[in-house]
Amino acid sequence: MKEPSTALTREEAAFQAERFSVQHTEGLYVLSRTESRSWLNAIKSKILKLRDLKAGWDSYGANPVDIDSIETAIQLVCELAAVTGICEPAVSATPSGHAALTWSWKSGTRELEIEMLPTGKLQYCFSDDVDPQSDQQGFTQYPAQIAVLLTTA
Amino acid sequence: MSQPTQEILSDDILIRRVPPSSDSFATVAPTGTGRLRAASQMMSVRDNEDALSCSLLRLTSPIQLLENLRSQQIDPTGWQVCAFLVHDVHSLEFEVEFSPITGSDIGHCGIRTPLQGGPKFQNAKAKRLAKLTIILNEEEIRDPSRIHALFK
Repeated sequence: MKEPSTALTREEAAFQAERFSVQHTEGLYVLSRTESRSWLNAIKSKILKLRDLKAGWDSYGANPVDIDSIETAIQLVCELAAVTGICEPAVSATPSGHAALTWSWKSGTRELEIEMLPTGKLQYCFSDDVDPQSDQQGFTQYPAQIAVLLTTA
Repeated sequence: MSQPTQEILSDDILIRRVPPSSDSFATVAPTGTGRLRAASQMMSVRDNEDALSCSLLRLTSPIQLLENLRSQQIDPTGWQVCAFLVHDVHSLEFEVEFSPITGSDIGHCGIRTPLQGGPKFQNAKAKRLAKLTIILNEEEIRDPSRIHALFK
């Protein structure tokens, strides 16, 4: 039986240079990040700052942001930061007092918004101005479902 | 005493306050035309709220809307005003109900679903409405006559 080669292919070397670990068996590559994304700490700080929003922060009676919602948002970005191809979201809050994260595609026509409910559920809303038929909205408690929307939509 | 009435026309313009935006807290988003619009969360309502507050531009000026912040002990510095068309509200199947606040906001309106007992203001649609708003610049805030040209 042929011994697997220990030499890195050019693609594997490129992945390692981008701080991925590469494991492979016959025909199957498993990639995972060996370091957190550079934007993760900055985003976590921004999410924590949502605690500073006082009741009425929008001048129309908005609620302060629920601490459980903030914690859910931090957990979500930690999980998504480990997924290839996911970039930094914009941080915001809803008048109901939920942390919110928004990803806008470079084309400017697609957007995914996630609202973190204090129950731990994630309310998502994907919209595509060019193809409104592909709009999706719903609830999930699985960050993986959000990762799929972000990487395949 | 009955509520004062005001005919609201399709080409009327509505305005709403938007909190200051910063790197850590996004309240606005870029449009494709180089302007800014309100972020959708700024056009959403609370869970227990059934109408989105806004003001009729011909009765409440943007400056007045910002000055009203002082009555809530809020410094208006950095606050913004977004504008949008009644026509666009109708296109999302919402209605605009005139609900003046005597003394402070005589042009106050509520955007709500027209169905009695039907679904409340849907925040998913707020996303669409937010994309149809324009954040006013300082000149437009000072001179509201310039605002109509934005929607021609």
